[in-house]
Amino acid sequence: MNDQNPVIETQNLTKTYRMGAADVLALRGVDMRIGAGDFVALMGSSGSGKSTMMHLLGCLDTPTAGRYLLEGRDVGSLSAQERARVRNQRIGFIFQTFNLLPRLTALDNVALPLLYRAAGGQGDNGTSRIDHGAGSRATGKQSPRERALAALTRVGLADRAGHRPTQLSGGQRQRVAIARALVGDPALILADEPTGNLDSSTGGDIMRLLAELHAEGRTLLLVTHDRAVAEQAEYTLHMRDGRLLP
Amino acid sequence: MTFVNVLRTALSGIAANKLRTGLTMLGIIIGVASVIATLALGNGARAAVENSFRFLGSDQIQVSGQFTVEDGEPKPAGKLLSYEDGLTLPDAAPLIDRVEMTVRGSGKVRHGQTTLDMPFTGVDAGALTSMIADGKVQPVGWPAGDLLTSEAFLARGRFFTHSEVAAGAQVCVLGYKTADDLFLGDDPIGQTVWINRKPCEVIGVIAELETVDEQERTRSKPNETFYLPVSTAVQNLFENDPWVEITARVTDEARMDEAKTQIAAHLRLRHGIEQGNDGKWLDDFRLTTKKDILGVQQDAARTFSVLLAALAVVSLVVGGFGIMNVMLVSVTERTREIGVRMAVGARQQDVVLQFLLEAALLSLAGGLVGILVGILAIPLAASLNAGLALLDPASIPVALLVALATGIIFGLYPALRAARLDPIEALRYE
Repeated sequence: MNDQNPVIETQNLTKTYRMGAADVLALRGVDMRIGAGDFVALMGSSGSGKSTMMHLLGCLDTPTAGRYLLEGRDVGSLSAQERARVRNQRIGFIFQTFNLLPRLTALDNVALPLLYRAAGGQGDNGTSRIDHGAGSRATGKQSPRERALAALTRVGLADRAGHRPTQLSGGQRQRVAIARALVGDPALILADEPTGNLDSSTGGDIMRLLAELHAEGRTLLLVTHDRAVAEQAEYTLHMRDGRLLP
Repeated sequence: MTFVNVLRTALSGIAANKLRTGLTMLGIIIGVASVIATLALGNGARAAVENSFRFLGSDQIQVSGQFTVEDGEPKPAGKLLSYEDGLTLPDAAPLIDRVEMTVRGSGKVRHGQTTLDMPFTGVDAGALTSMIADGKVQPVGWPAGDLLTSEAFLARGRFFTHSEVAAGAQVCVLGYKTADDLFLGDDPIGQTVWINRKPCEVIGVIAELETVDEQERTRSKPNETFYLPVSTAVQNLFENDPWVEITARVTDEARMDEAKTQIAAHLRLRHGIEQGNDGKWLDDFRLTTKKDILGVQQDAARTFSVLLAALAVVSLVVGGFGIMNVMLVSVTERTREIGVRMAVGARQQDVVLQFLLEAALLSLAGGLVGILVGILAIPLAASLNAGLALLDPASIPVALLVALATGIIFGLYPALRAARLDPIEALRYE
C-alpha cells in the first residue's frame, strides 16, 4: 500500500438515511485508506453498508458527516454539478448489470463519458494526475472516438465496436463496460459485483482483465460478497453494521 | 457534451418510438396548420384590398357621394359632390395640396357623317398614371410583369396637360376603337370632332386596351370611350351639375385623420349639413382611405381568423400535453439510462438539455408537417372566406417558432424531472 499518496482517504465517514419516521444509520464512521495502484476487495453481507460506501466513494451521494478525500481533494461536500465532474474525470464505474445504453453501439457506449467531458473542459480538475504506466496513453489530441476505440482494443473488443449491446454476450458486455470505465483515465475504478451476472468461466476472464489493469498500475476497488472473487484482489476490507472491521 | 452529440442522442430517442411519436405530434400538426391558415386569411384580405384599391395611394383620401337606393335607383343622400366642391378643397383644407377629379357621363361624338353614343370620362392630367396604378386594364398583348408606362397607354399623340385641365381646353383623347370607327384609319391627331355639338381637337388616341382579368373581357369595352379634361366635361357636357369623384392628396401621411376632419368641415359648410339629435353629422359624403378599406376587409376575415386561432391554441395545448405525456413516459422508461449517464458524468443541465431538445425536435417535426398541412388547407380556408386566403411567407417561421415554443414549454417539466432523479435510485430502477 502506498501510504504517501492515498487515492482514497475517508475520516469518520457517516451516512444516515431517513426511512419513514426512523433514521437508519448506514455508515457509522468509516476510516479507510486506499493507496494508488491498489487492488482492494470490499466485502460484507447485505446491509453491511458496503453499497452505501461504494456510492459515497463514487461521488454518487454525499456523507452525512465525516470527510472523503479523493486524491487529496475533499469531495464529500461538493455540489451535485462538481460531483458529476469528479465522476466524469476521476472515477470509472463497472456494474453488475453492465448498464450499457441499448441504443448505442459499443463504441458510442465507451465514448459516452468523454462526450460529457467535452463541454466542461478537460484540464481544469485541480487534482494532480497520477501517471499510470501503460495507462498514460497520449490522450490530448485524440478524438473521443479514437480514445474509445483504444479502450475497446485494450479489452480485446475492437472488432465489436459497431455492435449494439444486444448483439454481444454477457462477458463482452462487461468488457465494453470496463472499457467505458477506463476511457477517461480515472484515478479510481469502482467495480460492483462485476462477475455477479456471469458464468464462472466468463467471470474468471473478467477478473483476469481486472488483474491486468491492476498490473498496469490502476487503482481498483471491488465490491463483492463472493469470497472467491475477493481473493483475487491484493487485500480485502470487511464491513459489518456500517463499520470497517479491523 | 457538444450540441451535435445532444442532437444525436435526442434523435435516437425519438426514432425509438415512431408510432407514439407520430400520434403525439398530431395536436402540434393541427395547431401549426391552423396558425398557417389563420395568417393566410389575414394576408388574403390584405392582398385583395391591395389589388382592388391600388389606385388609392396611402397618402390619398377618396371623397365620394352617399347614395340611397329608392325604387331600385340610386339617389344622392343629400347634395351632389360637385366640381366646385373639389376645386375649392385645397384652399379650404391646408393639409390637402392637390385634388384629382373624375366625372363620368355618356355623350355623342361626331366626325363627318358618323355619330357615336358612348360613355366618356372627364379626367385630370394624371389619369393615365392612375390607370396604371389601378391595374385593371393593360395594352393588348402586354407581357405580364413588365412595368407599364404612360407612353405604353398611348397609341398616338399625347395626354392632357395640367394647364389644359385648369383652363378647360376644348381637347379630347379617343379610345382605340372610337378613333378607328370615326376616322376609319386616317390620322385623327389635330382633327376636330363634335362632342354634344361642341368642337373638340383630338390630341391623342389611347392604345388598344384589354382588362387584366380575363373573365371581365367579354363584358367591358375599354376601347369604346373618350376622355376630356374634367373641367371641359363639367362645363360642356352636362345640363345640371354632375357628381364627381374626388381624390385628395394629403401633404403629410401621418396626419390623415386631421386631413379628413378638414375635408369634412369644408364639405359640411358647403352642403349646409347639420348635426342630428344624437350629435352626429348627417353627412352626404363619404371619406375613404386605404386604411379604412383595409379595416373593413380585415374585419370580415377576422371573425373566421378568431375561430381558427382558437382552434390553433386548443390544438397546441393538446399537442403540448401530448408531448409532455410522451416525454414523461420516455423519462420513466429511460430512468436507468439517465442513471448511467449521471454516473459517467452527465450534469443536471446535460440531462435537461437532452430531454428538452428531444421535446423540441418532436414539436419541430410536428411543426414542419403542420406547415405542409396548413399550406394544403389554404384553398379550403379560402372557400370559406370569399376566396380570400394567401400564404403569408412570414407565417412559416412564425409557425415553426410556435411549435418550438410549445415543445420547450411542455417539455420543461419532464426534462426537469429527469434531471432531478437520484443517480443511485435511477441505477437501481428495473
